[in-house]
Amino acid sequence: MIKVPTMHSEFTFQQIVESIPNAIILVDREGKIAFVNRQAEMLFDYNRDELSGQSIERIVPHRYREKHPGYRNMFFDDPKARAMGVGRELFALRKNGSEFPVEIGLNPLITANGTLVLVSIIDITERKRAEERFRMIVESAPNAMVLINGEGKTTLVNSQMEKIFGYSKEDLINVEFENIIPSLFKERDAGYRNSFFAMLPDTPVNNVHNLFAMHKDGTIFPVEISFHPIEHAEGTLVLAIIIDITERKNQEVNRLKSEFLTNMSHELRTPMNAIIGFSEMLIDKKVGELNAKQLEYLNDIYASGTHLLQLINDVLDLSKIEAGKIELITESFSVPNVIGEVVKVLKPLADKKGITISLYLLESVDRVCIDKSKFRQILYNLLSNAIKFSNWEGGISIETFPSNDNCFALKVRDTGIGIAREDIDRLFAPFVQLDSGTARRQEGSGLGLTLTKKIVELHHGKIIVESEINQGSEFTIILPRHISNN
Amino acid sequence: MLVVDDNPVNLKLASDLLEMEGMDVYRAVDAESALEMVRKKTPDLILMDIGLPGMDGLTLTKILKEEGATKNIVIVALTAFAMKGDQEKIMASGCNGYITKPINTRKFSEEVKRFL
Repeated sequence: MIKVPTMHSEFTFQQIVESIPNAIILVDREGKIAFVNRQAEMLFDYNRDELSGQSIERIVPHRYREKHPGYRNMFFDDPKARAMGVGRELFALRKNGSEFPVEIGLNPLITANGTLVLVSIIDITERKRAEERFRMIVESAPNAMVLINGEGKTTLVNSQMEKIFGYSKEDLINVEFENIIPSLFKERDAGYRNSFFAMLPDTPVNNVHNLFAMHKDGTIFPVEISFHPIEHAEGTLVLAIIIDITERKNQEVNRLKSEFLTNMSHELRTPMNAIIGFSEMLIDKKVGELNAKQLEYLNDIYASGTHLLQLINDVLDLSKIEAGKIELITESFSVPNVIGEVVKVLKPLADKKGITISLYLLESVDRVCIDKSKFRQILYNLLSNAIKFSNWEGGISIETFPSNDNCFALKVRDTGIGIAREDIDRLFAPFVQLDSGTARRQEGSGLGLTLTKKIVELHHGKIIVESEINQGSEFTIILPRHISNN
Repeated sequence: MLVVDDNPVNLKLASDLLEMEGMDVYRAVDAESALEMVRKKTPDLILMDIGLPGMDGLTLTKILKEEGATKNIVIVALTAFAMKGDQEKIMASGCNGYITKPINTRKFSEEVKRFL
């Protein structure tokens, strides 16, 4: 109830009401306008004479006029200071017929002439625009956003939320936020839950949580949520920004894998340097003469060392390929040249068994543009296998010829012991070695063909094996002539 | 010449091998002591393991290549080529070249001499 304090009675009621920055209208029991201040005149674009004595419904939009008297009477039956139309959207009507959104406060005024109601009216057009702008910003944000009210319920969600959760906006609005992120309050007591949103610290820095969310299809994915308190006319709201961090976590895992491979590479090769290096020096008699037994044992150490190094290299290569860490380095080179180089390196091994290597290289397969060192690796593997499994004084042939779709083929054929049909499938499995006798098993790692196949696949090529026991084997690989560097 | 390697056995391997070929070899186990030695007596060539504790080999290379007194020293990196991009990093830091580990003792001194 407003009572004019007597000590300031030099101010008339009118002076006070005129000095209030809001639009004020005084309305009597019958709904007639008793007084209008300057602000109200300006807001509604009426002269006070035009409104004095008129019914208040004059400034109410037509569609609300029917119900308005009912609301008026309800107020006078129980006159209490309050906001009008809580929960409803209110509109007022200007002289020119245009509408605008308003917030209205009602105050009963007891005068000598009966109870009046002092109506204060605020034009909230700007506020509504600001809310609309806020809504648009939230909607257009690249991250998923949810607005949460004081009761922990969602009041606004954007399209990104639909995208990452798989639910429609309707499903996501007006639900408890913890239903969307069940892990938010998991294993916490009721006290934590009730005060969570009220007790959020002001700085978002402390408000980042790593949690798990569930997609509509049931999959669980890791998220990072930050909570931001927002002061609002209706109290403090909380804006939650949700980021799906599945990708980020994957990258972290990959980075750790990479680091591990790198460290292993270095660590494993370091002692090999000393083992192979010093045995080599001793064998070469750089530090003095050796007797036969000493030389023999040193050769054993040296052979084991180089074998171990080959194993380490192969395992690391395989790991790198599996981890997706191998990139093809393409360069233009001459196929016959590389074949010549590899044959030269392996010829001593072939000569020891009296094996002849014949080349049938078509001119049409000359320069190609693929990963040169990987190609060399494949050829080395196929040729050394051919030599290993050939008989005394056997023959090995290496052929190249064009293949369709801008590819070329490389065929390595031997007349050795061959491969049983049932073993051909196992051929490319890691650590499988199809040789009889423990003596042979010391050479090679069992990874050569595995790696060869992986490298061929990296080039989007094919590898074909044909073989029969005691007839020999044919390994054909088909590779593209050009690979682009990505 | 100066050989720098934090693994004492590998340091011995490379240094002994070169000494057997008649070269005058100094040894260091980390970049900091290598730097000290360089300032006392300038070597013609530095053979350097890349993975050194403390200051790493490539940083040392950059420092030496930037100073007038030391920028003409031939620096050869010893590397196991563990990481993608190792080669680029080595050349970018100013090294004159590299030799891969494990070393081939039969070819090592020839390869080193080629850099001089």
